[in-house]
Amino acid sequence: MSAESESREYFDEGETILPEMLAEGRWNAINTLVDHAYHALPFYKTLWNAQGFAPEASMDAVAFQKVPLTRKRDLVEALMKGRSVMIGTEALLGFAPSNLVMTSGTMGFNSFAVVTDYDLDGPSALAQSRELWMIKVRAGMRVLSLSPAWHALGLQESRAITRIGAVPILPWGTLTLRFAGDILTAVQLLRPQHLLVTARAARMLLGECDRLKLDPRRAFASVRYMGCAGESLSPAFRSYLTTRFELEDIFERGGSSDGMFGGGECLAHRGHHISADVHYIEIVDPNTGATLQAGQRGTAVVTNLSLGRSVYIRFDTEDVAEIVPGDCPCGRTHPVVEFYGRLADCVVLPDRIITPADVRCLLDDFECTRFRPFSIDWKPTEGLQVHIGGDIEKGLVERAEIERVCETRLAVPVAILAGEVERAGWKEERIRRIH
Amino acid sequence: MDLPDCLIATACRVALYQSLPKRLAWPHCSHTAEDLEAAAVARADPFGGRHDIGYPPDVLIQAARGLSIYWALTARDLSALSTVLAASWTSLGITAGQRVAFYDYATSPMVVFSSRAYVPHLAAGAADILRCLPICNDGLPDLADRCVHILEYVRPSVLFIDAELMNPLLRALDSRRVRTIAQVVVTADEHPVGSKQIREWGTLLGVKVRQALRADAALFVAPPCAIESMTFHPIEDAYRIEVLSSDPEKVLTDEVGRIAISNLAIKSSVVIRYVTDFEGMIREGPCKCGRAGRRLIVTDVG
Repeated sequence: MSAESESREYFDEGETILPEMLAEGRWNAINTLVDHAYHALPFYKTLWNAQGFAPEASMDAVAFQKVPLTRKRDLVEALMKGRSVMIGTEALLGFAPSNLVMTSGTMGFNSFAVVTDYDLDGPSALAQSRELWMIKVRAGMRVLSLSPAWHALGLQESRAITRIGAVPILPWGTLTLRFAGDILTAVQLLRPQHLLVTARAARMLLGECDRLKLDPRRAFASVRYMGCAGESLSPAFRSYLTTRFELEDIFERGGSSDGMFGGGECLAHRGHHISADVHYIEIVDPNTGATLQAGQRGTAVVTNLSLGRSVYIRFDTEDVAEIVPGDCPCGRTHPVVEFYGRLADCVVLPDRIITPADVRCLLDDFECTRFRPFSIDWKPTEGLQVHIGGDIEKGLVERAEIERVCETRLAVPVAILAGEVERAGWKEERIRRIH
Repeated sequence: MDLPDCLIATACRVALYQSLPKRLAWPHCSHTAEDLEAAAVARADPFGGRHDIGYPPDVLIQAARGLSIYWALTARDLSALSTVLAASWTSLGITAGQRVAFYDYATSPMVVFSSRAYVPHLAAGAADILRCLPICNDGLPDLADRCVHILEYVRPSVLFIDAELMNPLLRALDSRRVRTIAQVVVTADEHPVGSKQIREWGTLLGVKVRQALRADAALFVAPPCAIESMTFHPIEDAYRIEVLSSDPEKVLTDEVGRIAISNLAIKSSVVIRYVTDFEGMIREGPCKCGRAGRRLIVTDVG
């Protein structure tokens, strides 16, 4: 790895382009996109016509908000109705489809999308390369990567590693417990400097070290950085991982197979920089559909700005997020978005959204609840009932203080209870709404 | 059977072939998976002594499930392997425009070399070469429902599936009352499935089920004969296949023995006479299916 490669801060000049230029490029792209979608993509024409929408001559922030939101259920219905993976969102521009990918199936039904080499080597690879560069992946660096082949971001990661010139390490299998041993062995033998994993896999690897009575600092001695996808990391958990793996830095990564977009953290760790010349992110009030300002929580709505793939236009990811206000100290001008979890797992109040990640952050500040699995029930009349799993004999000694802090920060009644909960992590930690 | 001189020359540069235990009946360089592991431990070499350091690797991949040995491959090797895979696909009748699905891990050689999007530094995978459209489920048994979903909506022409996932798939198809139209190609690393089982699966699915022969620790794949049961047609330019005695201390007394594979396609990792776990025999001359060249008939199955 050259010193130049190590020290260069940005992947390309586009990361610091003036916001006005980004906005100009965005509306140009959206004009092309909306026009193309209305005239050439049956899915959007049908969806928009059904809602009485026809594009105006020129798109700007106000006009674009009139474009109907695309919901997951719209995609699923189109798929079920057509019984074909090609549902009319494929803006391929004459390029041959190169891969089919799947969504994560959060509605219990996976939808599909088409990508082309034009996109994988073009805009998507650019966005993903910026992300990997931001989280310190460099040319010649050994990077452990086990990205799934069904996931659009996995494919993009593969092309971005190529573009950067890093050397990937691919242990057998996938990021699940049954392959923890293979991953750990690969780390010990091949000595990567970077790990691209999920938070769940990081927990799993620590568990494997504990099981084998290995000091993670020795087993992972070569590893300098970790890119951690899959969930919002609490400050305490981030610090814990940094200490136990003895990392120079840990970066949260986030994105969605639904919408095929993602972004990573810069050194400022304020949230995820989303390449604004590739994707446009809006935050929308889940109750009213209104577009929200920076600093307000809603659901992330994505519009892909480039063609040559299945395109998502004002697609509601149903992931709770907010645009972090203010300039980023890293100098990048692309928006910073923080993700908190799935809307279905949250409590939506008239004035705010409480997410499992909020509770996780608070619990992780207390020793007796730190990193313990939990589940939450929400009863409008009683507030949040947080069931903490694990060894109750040792735990919950600070219950009154935890409840007080939670109530103060979340502004709802909170009861901390011992429970039989075994699973931890964003995708297992849900708020169950009980009426 | 003689090996190409260039392969013999590379053996002199690569550590494994200097350190193998002497076996009376096996020819020079013959080695097993256990030999690879022993070399890896003795030399603290994760590549099992097979990496030619003259070729800085672009990709490091675990060689086989459960084997802590890794490939150090260059981009050129990746391309060579996808060309071999594409030739195998062609033998299976896969053509441009077809959709090809995988129920296997993304790190399986059946998947890795199939698309340039599945592994970094690959210029063109088998699907890219043949202009097919691939989709990969993961290889976990509990994702069988998702595989059925793929079969139902993607309607692939071919499904490549690891043999251990056949029963979960059959159960999922049954519970969802879905039938597949895809030709199913089963693979199992060094443990080929018997023809009776293949026929049973074909009957249960109501589609053609075939088997490709696979030995991951040699990066070997061979398509099946279209006519003869348990007969495979290795790509001639890519592999040298030999029969060795099942007992390394005894000479081969009949035509049947363990199959050893030399990989001629890759350069950065040197594979000479990797002795597989399966036994068989080799036949020369025209096959009933019309193909010329050497064919491999597997005689033992797990």
